[in-house]
Amino acid sequence: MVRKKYDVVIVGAGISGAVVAKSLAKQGKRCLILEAGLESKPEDYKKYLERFYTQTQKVPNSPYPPNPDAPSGSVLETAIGTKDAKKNYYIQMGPKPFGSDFVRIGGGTTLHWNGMCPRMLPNDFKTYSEYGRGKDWPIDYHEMQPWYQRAEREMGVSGNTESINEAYRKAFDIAQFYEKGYVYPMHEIPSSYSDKLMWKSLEGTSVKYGGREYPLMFLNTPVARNSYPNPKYQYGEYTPQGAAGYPYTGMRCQGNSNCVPICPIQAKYNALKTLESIKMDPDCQNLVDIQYKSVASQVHIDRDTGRVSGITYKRYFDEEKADHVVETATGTIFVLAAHAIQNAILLQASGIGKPSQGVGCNLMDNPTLITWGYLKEKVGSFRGPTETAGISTFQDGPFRKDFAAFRLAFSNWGWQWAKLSPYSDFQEMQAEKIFGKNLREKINGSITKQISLYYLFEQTPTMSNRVTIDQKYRDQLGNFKPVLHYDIEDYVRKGFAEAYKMNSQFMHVLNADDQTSYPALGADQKDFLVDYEGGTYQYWGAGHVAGTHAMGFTAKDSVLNRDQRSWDHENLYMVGSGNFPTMPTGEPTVTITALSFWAADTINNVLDKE
Amino acid sequence: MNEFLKLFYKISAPLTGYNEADLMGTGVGEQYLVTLLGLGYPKQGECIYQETSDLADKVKGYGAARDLLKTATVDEKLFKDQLTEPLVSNIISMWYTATWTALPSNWWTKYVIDASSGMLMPEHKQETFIVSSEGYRNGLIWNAMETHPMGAKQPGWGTWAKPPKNETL
Repeated sequence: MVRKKYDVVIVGAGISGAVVAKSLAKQGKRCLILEAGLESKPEDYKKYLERFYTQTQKVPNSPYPPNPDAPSGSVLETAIGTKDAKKNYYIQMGPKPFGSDFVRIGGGTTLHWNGMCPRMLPNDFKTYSEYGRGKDWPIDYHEMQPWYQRAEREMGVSGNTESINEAYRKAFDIAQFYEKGYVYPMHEIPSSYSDKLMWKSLEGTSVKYGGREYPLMFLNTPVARNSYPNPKYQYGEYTPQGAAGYPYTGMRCQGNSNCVPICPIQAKYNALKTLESIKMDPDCQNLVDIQYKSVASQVHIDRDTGRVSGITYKRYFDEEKADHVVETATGTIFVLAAHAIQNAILLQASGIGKPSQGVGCNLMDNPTLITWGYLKEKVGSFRGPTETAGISTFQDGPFRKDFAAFRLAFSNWGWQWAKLSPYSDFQEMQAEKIFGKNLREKINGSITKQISLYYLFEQTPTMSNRVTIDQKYRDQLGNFKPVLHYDIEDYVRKGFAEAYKMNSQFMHVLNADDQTSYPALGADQKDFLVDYEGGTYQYWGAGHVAGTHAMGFTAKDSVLNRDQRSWDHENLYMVGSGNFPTMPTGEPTVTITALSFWAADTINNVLDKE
Repeated sequence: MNEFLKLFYKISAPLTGYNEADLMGTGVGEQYLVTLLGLGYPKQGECIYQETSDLADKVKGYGAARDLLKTATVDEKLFKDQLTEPLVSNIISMWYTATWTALPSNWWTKYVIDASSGMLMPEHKQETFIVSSEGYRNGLIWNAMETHPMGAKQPGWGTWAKPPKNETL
């Protein structure tokens, strides 16, 4: 039972909630975090790893134990219809499946994120003004810069600002992308051998579109994986953060080749590190309480003042059982940091916000087109982090008037994402009854030559893409399950078609044996096929869930103002990618973290005034 | 070494393409043998392995797993025979990926339930599973791919930037 009076009540102990709590506690504010899932203690992390080893389907959520009292979205629950509505958490209403998941546990989905930390581009904040597509954000890149720096320090980002500055100057006409003199806390993580091999062929290639040439630009991607500290880092000597609870482990990436679903040594950032730093900091430790096994179910609004008066949650004791008590947390300010899907459910369950404002609507992801093939030589696949580099050329440009932008990432893990390699290859060889030396040689001569290209597309807000709730679909605690409505808009479909054309060019230049064919894994995936002007393409979910309670310019058509505060309830804030008005091509987490720091400072100022 | 285990390494070498020393070096052979003898029920396999169960004599399927170990020649025939095919496939997939694949239901009907004793269909459902985390970490597939198991046996900082074995940029 929570008795203390809190300045801030936060729902969710993922990266956003942890960052908000840490930042506020540093400034003397008392915070309560309500986390729906179980605590991830250091000794639990080892169990996750063991669990991963013994799972037959090594999907992103596979290391983390299922929790019937706080179920998680799953990439295995993508069949359209309500046939499995009792068993599944995701209720997929179509017309297309939503293929991205998340996990409800201490540390949240950063436990299985990939770590990529590209900042959004200046034009990503104003796609409507620039290209007549999507929406403008009520904030711009320039305002975000100091917050990006805070995020990059918190997460420990490795990257090369100099080479990115130069590339963006040439390709996007951005005079100075990073702040003058700014470097990331750590040097870039080395690009993989296969990155270099592919770039050796692709360098000098241009793509023609709309009477313009787009020369390919290769970039090592900034990432929250530990590397060597950069002595030029302007905020003092940086020490890489090791594993939560095992601080001398994971201070450098050791090439475990397993960023998703679990980095064994936590050389990749996860929010457990931020939670741990709160615990270890004498200034913060007594100011932040984290209450696990507490699922927020309703936000209460005082009818007279319009302010949030409390958040009711169901506290359970054993995740297998439905027994629970209902309690209410009170405080001055309330922050929803539960994930774009869970926030959307909580808002609708509480009757907060109007559909016209987009509550639950504009669900977005980075729909990803994947292609794959063999090079003639061994590329050293299945070594190193998921991804270390890619082609940034099509993240921005005049083509965005016509089709969606994308970031092209080179896989370091062969066909793992699209085809579940190496397992599917092995099963095929077994079906062909290949054994002995022949089997060993066949594996050695094929899987080692696999390359795969990931085209991660931006997505624009569409009101009909949404998360809703329905009395019929509830979990064992009686909380609502997400009912998902999703489709891929023509803007993105045209992007698939254009990228696919480019892909033929790239495969040709690479002298690769293109093996792409959709659906990648057979008829079960047919719902992921989309047509555009005679072509058929398959998309994958990237796990970047956004847009369900977006910021905007007016209370009429958005849920939050530019301070990430509810237009309608002045002491209610939301953080996370649910706030994104559009989903840009870059991975969202560094932007989520930057915005969370910003929200925390805004909240701190409000509290100081009150 | 138990007689069964000796035989298991002997038959596993030509099935996997690795020599017996390589296989013994993984340290997980015994787990795979026990899983095989029990047809996917390691506890049952443990009994047969210790020879405290006469089950293998009574039920054709269990006997088949034991008899397979005594096979003199490893060739395509084992993959054409419906009795032995799922067993040799499983021996290979255990060594390569630590995976035991549930035997087809008609296999059980034919070789176990209808056996003369009329007994013993283990009560639990047949499942496909990973034998153990040690098995996963020692899967031969990673060695054949010239890499390490994903999420284990970390090769170290920056190794991914270097050419794979025998290749130069």
